[in-house]
Amino acid sequence: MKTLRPAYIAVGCFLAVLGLFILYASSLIRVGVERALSPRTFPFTIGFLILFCGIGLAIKSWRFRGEDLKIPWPDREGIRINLGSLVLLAFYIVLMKPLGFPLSTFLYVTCSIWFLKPAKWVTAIVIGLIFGFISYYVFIHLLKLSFPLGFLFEGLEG
Amino acid sequence: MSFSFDYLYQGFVTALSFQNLFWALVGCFIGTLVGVLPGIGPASGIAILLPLTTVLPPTSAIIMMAAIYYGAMYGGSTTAIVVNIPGEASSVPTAIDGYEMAKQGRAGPALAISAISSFVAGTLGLVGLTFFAPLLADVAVAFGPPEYFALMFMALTLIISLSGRALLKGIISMAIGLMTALIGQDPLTGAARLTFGFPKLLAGIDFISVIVGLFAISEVMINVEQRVTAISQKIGSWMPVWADVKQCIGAMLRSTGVGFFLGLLPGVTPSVTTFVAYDLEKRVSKHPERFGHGAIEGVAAPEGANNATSSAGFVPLFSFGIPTAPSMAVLLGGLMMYGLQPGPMLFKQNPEFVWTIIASMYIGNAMLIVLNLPLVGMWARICVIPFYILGPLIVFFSVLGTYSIRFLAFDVWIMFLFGGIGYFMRKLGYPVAPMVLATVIAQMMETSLGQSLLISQGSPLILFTRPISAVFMGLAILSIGRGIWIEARAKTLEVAIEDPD
Amino acid sequence: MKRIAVGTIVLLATVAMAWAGAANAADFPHKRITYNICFNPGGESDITARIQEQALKKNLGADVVIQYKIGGGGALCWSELVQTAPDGYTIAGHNLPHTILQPMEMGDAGYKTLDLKQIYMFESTPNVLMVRKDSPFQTLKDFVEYAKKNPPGVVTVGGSGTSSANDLGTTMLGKAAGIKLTYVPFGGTGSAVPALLGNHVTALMSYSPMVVQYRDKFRFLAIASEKRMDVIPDVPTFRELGYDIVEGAYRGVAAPPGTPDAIIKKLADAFDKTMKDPEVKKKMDQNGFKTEFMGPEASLALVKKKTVEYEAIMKELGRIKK
Repeated sequence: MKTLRPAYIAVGCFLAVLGLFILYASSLIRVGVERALSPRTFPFTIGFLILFCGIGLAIKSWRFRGEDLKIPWPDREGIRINLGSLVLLAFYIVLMKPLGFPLSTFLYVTCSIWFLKPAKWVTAIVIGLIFGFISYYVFIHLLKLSFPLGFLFEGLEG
Repeated sequence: MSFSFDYLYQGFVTALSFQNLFWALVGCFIGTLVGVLPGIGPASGIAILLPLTTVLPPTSAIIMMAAIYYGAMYGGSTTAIVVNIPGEASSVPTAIDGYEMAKQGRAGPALAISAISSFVAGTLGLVGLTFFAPLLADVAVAFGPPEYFALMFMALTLIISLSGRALLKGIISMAIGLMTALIGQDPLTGAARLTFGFPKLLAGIDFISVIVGLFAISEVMINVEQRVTAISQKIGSWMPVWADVKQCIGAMLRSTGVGFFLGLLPGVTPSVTTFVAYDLEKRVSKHPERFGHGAIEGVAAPEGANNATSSAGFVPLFSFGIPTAPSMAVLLGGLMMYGLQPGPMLFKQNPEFVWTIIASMYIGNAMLIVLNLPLVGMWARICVIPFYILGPLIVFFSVLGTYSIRFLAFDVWIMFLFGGIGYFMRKLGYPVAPMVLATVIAQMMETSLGQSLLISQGSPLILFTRPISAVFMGLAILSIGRGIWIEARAKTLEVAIEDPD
Repeated sequence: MKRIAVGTIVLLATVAMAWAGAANAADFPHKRITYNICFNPGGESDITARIQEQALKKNLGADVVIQYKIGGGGALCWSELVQTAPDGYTIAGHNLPHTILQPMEMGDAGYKTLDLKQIYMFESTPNVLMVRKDSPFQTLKDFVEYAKKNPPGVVTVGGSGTSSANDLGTTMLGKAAGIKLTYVPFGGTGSAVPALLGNHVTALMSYSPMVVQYRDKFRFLAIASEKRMDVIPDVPTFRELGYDIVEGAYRGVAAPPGTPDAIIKKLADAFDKTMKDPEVKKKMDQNGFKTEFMGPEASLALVKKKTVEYEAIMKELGRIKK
């Protein structure tokens, strides 16, 4: 979808489906004791709201005959970089527990900087080390926040 | 707790002791740091340092904790302006215009105005606290569940009606925010909603992850794909010109008023008041279209409201012993550790204690502006750091902050998800502000409504028969009416698909 | 090159996880312990933990870090606890009746009552019925009579949480006195109190520490304990006034299911010593808490006893199906 109109119609349809889904999920809510405001009320209201907004948006966009605007999608290179960064971030989150926060931070920062600017790999490693260290020293050691330590640092926080 | 010059004078004398000054400074500093990190809010900051305070005498400890509390307000706005990471929900409106200013090379003036506005509002708020506390406390308790609901409802309608001609998009944004807030346990009955049997979802989705994702991560995505070199290419002057400041005086005063009065109510946090102040400013402005594109009042207003609310938060605490926010509650907990009994009697029986703290807050406010103004240049410099370095670091801080909310990887994934959602919302021109506000107030709205209906035996008329809530409901209905009117007229101009801001 | 790197990482990770998993009771504790609080800071659970903190660290011989896992009236914290590694390094404060009533009433609370392995029960706070000082009710009798004269449900009683001691206490009072009270749940004691101050509810069913704090603003009609509390001797018990209601919240600590008994014993001993520490005892009493000293077996027995009691009460009150 290159322009707004078809995109909005799509969004409208998606929202309508989402609304229906919420209505369905709301009907599954267990209502225990009788209370003045049932736990189902708000979800139902919102489900209907989203449903109608979705339909409204789709219809409105369908009927729109004015100037259609282009969506500023990124170019090919942009998509590559964007997706690459997201994948790195996903790895960061996944590896945080097993490898520990300091190590995964080091890996993430280093790889990301290197990915964004391959020429500057030295900078990447240096900054990665700095922030890996900071994440250990300041947050785990000084502030005693319970970030995962990973196997390298398990013994240190005795 | 009544006013007396004598007490206040005594308070200043004690507060100006070297020891107390030192601890106030430490608190300001730590508070700012804490505020800079998303996710670690003043409550966690104070809670973490609570053990350290056992070595301090109670007065110094409280001074330090209070300093952390309002110092955190400063820190949150710094990252909001410079790198579009709102440190807390209360920094979100600041991020909207502040970051735009940063992109235009005006991070310096934005930060400076933020500091100045915070100082002015904080101090004025303290003056209110000093002279009018007993009166204000009574106002605070006049707000019961129906009034709370009416207030929240009005805040919500304010923000969607400000979506201008894109009312529908504003409503959709709000609705999605409400839906996100619904997931988890019903606040009144504990029934599981939209969780599909996943125990992790019982806690619901924390709004900090949502906010950090919507703002920071989506921004990083957009910058990265455009191969942006840096957030801003050059920095203009570090300080705002006098004309800028003059422009904001009105904003500062108005936001102080709004922030202070709403902040009196237990449970109304800065997150709500900053939005209301921002909305108000946009409404009274002669050029509302500037908002969202770097209007300096758009920074002054939320920042003022922020600090005014912090000051106001102490009114219920000193008058009744009721903490208005989790961070206050931690403060109270700290008091109890010293064997001091919290509650209204604490302050009645120890007026010197209260007044020393108040005096120290005046000093603290002054300290913060002295600390932060010179640092504005340093913070503004961050915008010029090449993005291939800054980007990953922003993500690092986002992950750090989001994880530290509950130490669950789940929250970080939510941040990731909302990064994507935020990205698409921007591409398709959907306003983000209504979603954020909805997420923040949804629970309180529903709880208040539930409680109100219990009190009224099921009749929604209670919202209209009580004077205060009737006023707010009336304002809300007016807002909605105006919004629909504008949207309907817009149909004839066929501007249905237009960029809202 | 890449494959060797990946392989090494995987190998190291496996070794690490194996190493971390082994729970060794002999040298427990050798690193810091996380003490999870399931409610807002400033609440009774938090305050107690703060009072205990120093002595606990001393008695355990390890660092104790207090963390908050707030949500679902405690359900979040407990459902997470039962999924945590049973090595004794993570414990959580837990409350009765919440941990009994929640799985009962909610169907799926994310945990089962008996999954929480009891370590120690250290305090209780009986329910207290209170009204404003300027309200027309001088005694419990006045209150009950007023409720009888008016349409059912007009009298509102605020309290902390749903399926909590306050909630149950209100229902029990209603039943015992033959009146219909409307319970209005608030997020915590901190938000219930302003409601009474502002006259938005008729009364509050709250806990004993509130009596200590709000002595000059509220009048306390009755306390649901077996006998009067020393720190607040002028509040009559429900029993004295003719209603057999003894109810309140019990607080203690629990560990994940499967935690070795030897580790539980060490933790229990540390808590026992802590609660008997004179400083701790003084602060607890001062603040309106009633200290209890129940080790693992006694706590478990209490839980089982209460479960049976509550089940009967809940069925009788119509809150769960028979």
